[in-house]
Amino acid sequence: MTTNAPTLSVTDLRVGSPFDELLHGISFDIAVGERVGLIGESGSGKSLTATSVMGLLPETLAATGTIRLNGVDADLLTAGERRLNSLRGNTMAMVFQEPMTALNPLMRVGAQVAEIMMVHRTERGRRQARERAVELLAQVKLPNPAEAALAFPHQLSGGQRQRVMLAMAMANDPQLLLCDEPTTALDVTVQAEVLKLIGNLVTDRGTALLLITHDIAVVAEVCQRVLVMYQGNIVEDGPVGRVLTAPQHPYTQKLIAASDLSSVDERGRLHTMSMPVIAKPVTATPGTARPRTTASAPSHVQADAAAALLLPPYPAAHQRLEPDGPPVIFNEVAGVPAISVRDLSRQYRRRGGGLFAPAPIVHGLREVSFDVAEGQRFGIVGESGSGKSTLMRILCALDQPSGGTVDVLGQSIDGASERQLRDFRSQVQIVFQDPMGSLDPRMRVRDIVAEPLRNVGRAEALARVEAQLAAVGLDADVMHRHPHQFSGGQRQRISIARALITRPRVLVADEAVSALDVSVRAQVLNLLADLVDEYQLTLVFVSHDLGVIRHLCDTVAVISDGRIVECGPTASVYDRPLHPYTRQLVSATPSMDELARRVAN
Amino acid sequence: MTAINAQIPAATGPNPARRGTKGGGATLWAGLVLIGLVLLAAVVSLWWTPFDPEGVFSDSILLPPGAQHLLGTDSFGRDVFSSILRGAQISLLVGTVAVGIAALLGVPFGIVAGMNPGRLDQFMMRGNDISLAFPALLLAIIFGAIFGAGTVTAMVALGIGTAPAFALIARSGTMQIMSREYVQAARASGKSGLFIGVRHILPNISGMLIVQASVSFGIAVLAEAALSYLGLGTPPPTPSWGRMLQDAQGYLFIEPLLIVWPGIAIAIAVLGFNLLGDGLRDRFDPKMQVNR
Amino acid sequence: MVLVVLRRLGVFATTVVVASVVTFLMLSILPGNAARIALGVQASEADVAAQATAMGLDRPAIVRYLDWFGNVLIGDFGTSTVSRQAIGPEITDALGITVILVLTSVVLALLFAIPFGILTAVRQRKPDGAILSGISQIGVAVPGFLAGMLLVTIFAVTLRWLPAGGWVDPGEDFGGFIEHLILPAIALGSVQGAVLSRYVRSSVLEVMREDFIRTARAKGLGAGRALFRHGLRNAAVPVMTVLGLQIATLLVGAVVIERVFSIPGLGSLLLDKVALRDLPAVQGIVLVLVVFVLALNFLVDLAFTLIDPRLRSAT
Repeated sequence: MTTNAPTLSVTDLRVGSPFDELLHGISFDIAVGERVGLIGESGSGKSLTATSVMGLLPETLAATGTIRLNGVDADLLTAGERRLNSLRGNTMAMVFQEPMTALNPLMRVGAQVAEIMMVHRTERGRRQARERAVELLAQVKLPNPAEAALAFPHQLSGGQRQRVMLAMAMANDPQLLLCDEPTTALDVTVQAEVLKLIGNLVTDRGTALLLITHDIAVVAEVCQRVLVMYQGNIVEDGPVGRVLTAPQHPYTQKLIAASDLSSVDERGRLHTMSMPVIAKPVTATPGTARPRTTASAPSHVQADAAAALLLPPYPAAHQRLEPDGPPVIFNEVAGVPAISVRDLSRQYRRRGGGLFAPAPIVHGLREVSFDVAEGQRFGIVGESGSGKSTLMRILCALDQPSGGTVDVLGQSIDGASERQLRDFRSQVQIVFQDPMGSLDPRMRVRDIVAEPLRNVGRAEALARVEAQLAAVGLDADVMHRHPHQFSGGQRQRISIARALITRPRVLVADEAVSALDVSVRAQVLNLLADLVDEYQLTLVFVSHDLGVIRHLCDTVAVISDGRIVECGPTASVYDRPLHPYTRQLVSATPSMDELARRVAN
Repeated sequence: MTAINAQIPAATGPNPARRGTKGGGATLWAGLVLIGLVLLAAVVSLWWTPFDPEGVFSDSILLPPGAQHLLGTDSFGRDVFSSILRGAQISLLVGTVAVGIAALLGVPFGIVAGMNPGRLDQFMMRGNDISLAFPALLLAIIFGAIFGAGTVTAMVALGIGTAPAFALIARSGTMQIMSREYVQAARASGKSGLFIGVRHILPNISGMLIVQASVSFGIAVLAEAALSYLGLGTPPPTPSWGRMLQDAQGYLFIEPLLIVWPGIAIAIAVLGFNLLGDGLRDRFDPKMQVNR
Repeated sequence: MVLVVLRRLGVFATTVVVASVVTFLMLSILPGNAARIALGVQASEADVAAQATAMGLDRPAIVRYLDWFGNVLIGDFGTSTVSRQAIGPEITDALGITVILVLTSVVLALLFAIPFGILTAVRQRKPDGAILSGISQIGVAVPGFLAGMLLVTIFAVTLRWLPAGGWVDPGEDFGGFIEHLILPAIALGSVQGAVLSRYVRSSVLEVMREDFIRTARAKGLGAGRALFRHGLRNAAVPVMTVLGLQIATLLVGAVVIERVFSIPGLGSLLLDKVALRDLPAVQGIVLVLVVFVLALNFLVDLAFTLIDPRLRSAT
């Protein structure tokens, strides 16, 4: 085993099905102990690269080229199954994205970690392997490792499961660790911890790392070098610091610009990717879509909009919840606010409990009080299980509170009947997260967009649908198509059109851009910002992503464990977080400038 | 493979790589061909059969297969081929009516249960569990005891007995669709439960319901044959495959071939509907498609 | 864990009671006047009224139900309207035979279905896999009673190795018992086995696509070992559900098979009583059959809990 040979050497790797080629001859090396990030958007071929190295490509795909591991004379692509089995989990190991499904649900996690040592006979016996598994679980910082080893996967959180996966991958001290989106499914604060853990583990043991992700921040956090993939090619390869600050390839430049939610152009808009990446109808319909916001609006309106980002129209107070302190009414507005929530609680009765014992109660929300002023852009940020989705559902009257009051546009919606809510339904609309699940696949776009309309004739409805589609930048001819014929970004535009067709006064967005690639995300965020201005909407934007909220909202509430812990003007909360949880959240989602600074150090 | 490829006009239809792995095609067609055969037999025999399948012909009892009687004759001297053709009618009739009743009862039941999680759903599903303990064939035997055996009794009993299966499928499909955001969006627009059930849920679970209908059809054909075999199905002289088997059992030692022909007919019909169901499932079930 | 079992037991008991109510409603209330049915259409009104009093039909339905179900709980199924004899002993004798037949068939079905299903799944893309899969498809399409007749034709009529029907008590002549059991058990088990093997196949195929199988492969387990160590137990979970649902089908299959082989089990008894329109006897037999299905389902449910740790905690 020579030290100057690279740990992994990939040459002219091509992967394709009988129908088309997906990887077009990529080549790269990873030196001993080097930490390399592989970044790209969905479909760029980054996961295929990793599965090719592991020899786990789906049967329907075939690979050509060469893949060599240091100290292994055979080409991995032509090596026999027996050979590959001896390498997998031993010389090279892999961590996958989905912590929920990547572990065997019927087997204790300790046994699953021990198994990898039994398979490669790196421990003498079952007992030694079990003991070593507990040590490994301690090294990945699982609390009570001896107990955790006896747990089943469903008893662990997502972050804990990913730590188990890491313990498993590192068990036999591999020379190469491949991680495919290891933290994408995790909450931001957990993500930061797991990334730090990966970094420490590979640095301590001198393991080479290939980290695959769509998130440039993840790469900057852990890696030394980055490979940028675009449509099956590696378009850029360089040190992280250089690529971040001085990207060479036009795609990388656009990608980094679009990822940077803190920088806007002279019109206060996010940088989008004007490469062919842009969804087709936007470029195809410059005459109908854009003029509404750019050409027809005088330039001073744009300037005002930009100014609004910096100076919220309502001087929201910046407050935090003190531990054991009294409940706080956040963002209290004088006069009549658009949304007013007081002492809102929501409890769930979990199924089960004992035969005679009452079912356990889970607190979704506890005594939440806040206002949202007319025309305000109010962000709600929190992690999974924080209660933000419950709050959103109650604000839209999709769920009823267990206690407290909710007034929207002067109407009380807690306990209201569907008949009483009729007016409310047209005044408050939602845009959902999942561009796949938010549109009924069996309906045509015209019926989807027209659905919220009430008592409107067919001809008028069609006319309004057409106008609304134009407003979100889609051609009229999309009306007769079905959702599966559109990309994620286009679907999200259709969702927005559906939400706006009743001319609502309040728009609630639930993670509306979280499922989109960065390039598309910037476009949709710009569109949302434009429309909120144009329709003078009150916006409630729920997200786990502080960066998105910072860009779009003037006021932000941080929600954790069913309570709002801090609320105030976005810039103020971001720059001077008061609550420890907010501080943790802010440091886990650095801006591009901050990233570059961290990498430089 | 979404966002970046979106520049390629989105309306490309199914992914070509996926089309290669879509196994439904051959199975689907095999199923359709077999069902087509049965349907053809049923339709042709409405107007024409080589011989009268309902009389008694003492001069042609238990003839072996030959030029005149393609599949031979039975103990009453009837042409077996003619009986097989005519028997297809009863099988298809019982299957159609039973599956229709089952779907009409089971699907709304399942959708209502699936749309109302919590107590109502639990209550309805307990009820469903109990009905599952009365399998269709047992129900048909009980109904036979109460109302007397016959085609109508058999169809109704098999329909009621098959309904719980439809309810289960409809419920699980409904629960999946209820978690979709487009249902939330419809609720947020103030749409009623009835609207959501009819416009969103029913169209989106129709695929799995069609699969279930196909599989249930096969089971109903089997059950009808069993009932007729037990003498609780279609009464004589109307030919039915199950009763042909019953008649043939008495002559096992003399002419064992007599059980083969109706047996093959039943197998073709059931196989046809099972293959159709499998093929449709491959086509509808996204889980069967290979991810890359 | 104990709590979970107790809960299930409670649910099971409730289900049995509801099922008994349904059975009672169907066979005692729905048909109308049982006295008239027992005596026939020609009987005079006075005779019918006397018969109704004798049968206790003048009491309210709820009392009659409680009386019937209470007696059933202590093993008394009432008297036949035809033979005027107690139904209980007949049912118990027949039940023993049916239980033996059904359980043997379940074991045979599983012995066939598990290896066959796995094999067809693993060899899915190979020609032999397709052929095996086709065989199981045809197996599903053949009715059990036809399989029984074919077996009789081959092994009893042509080869004369085994008897064509009848039953021998295992206490009397164990060899004869086995001889009489083989053909009906195979007829019932093979068809159920074919059905189950389809489910085993699709369940294994599904599991092979799971992420944790990919994890196992990335650990260095070969495809076969990954499937055997991690896949099969997971694949068993949905198969068990199907097995639970199949039990009811298996039981009615047994009813028909008993008729093919002239076995004096519950199925034959039921069909005899149906032919005689002896509704009190039918009611008792139906209840026993349904409770048998529910009890086996209950056992499958418990087995589930043992296999899947996710069901052990929480609910």
